[in-house]
Amino acid sequence: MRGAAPVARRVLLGVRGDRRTLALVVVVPVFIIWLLSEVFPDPASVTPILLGVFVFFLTYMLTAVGFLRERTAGTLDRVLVAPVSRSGLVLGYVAGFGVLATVQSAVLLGSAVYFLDASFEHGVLLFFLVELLSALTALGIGIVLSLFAETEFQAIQFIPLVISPQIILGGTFLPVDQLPWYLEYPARFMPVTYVIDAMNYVVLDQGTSAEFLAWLGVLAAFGVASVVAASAVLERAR
Amino acid sequence: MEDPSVHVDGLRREFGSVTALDGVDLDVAGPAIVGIAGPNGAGKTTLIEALLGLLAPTAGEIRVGGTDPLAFGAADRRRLGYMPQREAVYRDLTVRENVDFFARLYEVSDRTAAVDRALSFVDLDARADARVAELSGGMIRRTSLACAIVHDPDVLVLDEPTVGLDPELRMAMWEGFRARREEGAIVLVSTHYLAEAQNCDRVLFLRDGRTLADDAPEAFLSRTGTDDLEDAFLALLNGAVAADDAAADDATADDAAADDASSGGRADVDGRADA
Repeated sequence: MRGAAPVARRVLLGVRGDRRTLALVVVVPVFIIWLLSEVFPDPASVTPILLGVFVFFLTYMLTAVGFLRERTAGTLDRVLVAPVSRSGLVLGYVAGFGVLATVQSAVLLGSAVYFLDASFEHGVLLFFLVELLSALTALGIGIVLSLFAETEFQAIQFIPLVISPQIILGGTFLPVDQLPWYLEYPARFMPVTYVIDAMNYVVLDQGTSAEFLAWLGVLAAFGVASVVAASAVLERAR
Repeated sequence: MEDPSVHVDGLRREFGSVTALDGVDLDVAGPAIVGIAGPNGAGKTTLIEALLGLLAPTAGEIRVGGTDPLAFGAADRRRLGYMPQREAVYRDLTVRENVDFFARLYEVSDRTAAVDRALSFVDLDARADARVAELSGGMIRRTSLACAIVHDPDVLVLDEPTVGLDPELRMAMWEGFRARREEGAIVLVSTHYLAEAQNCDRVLFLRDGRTLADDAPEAFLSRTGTDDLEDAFLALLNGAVAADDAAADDATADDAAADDASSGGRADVDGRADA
């Protein structure tokens, strides 16, 4: 845990000092939701997908690039030499980006209500819970994948490979149980599938409360597993 | 607190088929400025990263303050300061925020005063609230140095700290390193500006991952009969090349330069003996 608080603080100070990222977190979601509200005559069915995918996607991008920068700029080595535990470093990231994901979720919530006339059948608290679990998973995946990239461009190249299939198969276009078996099984191992399922329940009351609890459980497991994986691959000594 | 110490014995590190360090020894007990010099690719950064516990040795032993770097606890880490060769500061933060971040990581007591001291040590008080992205290269290096010293470490490890700095700034940095030594620290400085090694109490001269020499700067000069460290190191390098040739021919070391290079001080011999 040692070092988590300063790292979280540093992540947030860094975003404050970087106006583009700040705009990406706060302004862009409003713009995208407005665009979609103009395009879809009846946006209700796409609302849960938009809300679920946006935070996942952006958190992946911010952590993958942010962590890669730590590595290439040399600050990661410096932090690892300091009295900081590896789990402290990852938890610092979790806390910092958790705050960011919460802010972004609030922006999305407001935009969805204003532009998409969204009503949250099961309340906004569950909405925030699903968004945070989604962000947690994306953060762990972002850190792990950033270790396999040498440049920011390479970190972005993982998006079509790792993120897009999840969005395509996760229920965005077709319910997962209607996919052919060879796509359904991979889809069941992708976190975005459960983000969309859970968000469908929260926003549209699709599924039962027992199913929702199961989806939350799977998402929480994905989140914990990806953060543990991130701590594990982050070796102090090469 | 006990005197700081660094002990390296027979350090070897391989990266796949490449041997970056091969049988390097180093012993430092008590305050000193120790230069780690050598051409590009000599193994300077590898040695530094092994000392900090960022690289695991393939063979050999390292102790910093009596502890194996791979087993450093929080207390051992608090005694270490590190300035990497790369930029190693956060561009989106101000100078003060960067230094303050490391002060927090090191759990420095009376943080504000420590950050102020570090900033004035590198003469950046006036730019403390500027974002790093707005600063010149020299100011960024100084920010990085301030981050390395804010917790008052007694082993300060600096990887090419003066690269890209103008002569005046380089001189100011060396004055800073001397001040750290006077306060009881070991300062390990890598450099490939060989003339800069003049500022060190002792210089470990590496080539191809081996110790070519380990001595005081004056000893290098007298051994090579030069009055400039740059020339002295070139003479050593050339002497070593001659020694390699001699070894290849299975001849005795009748080459004067090679003889000279291996005769004085605690020099070279480990590296060359294996050749």
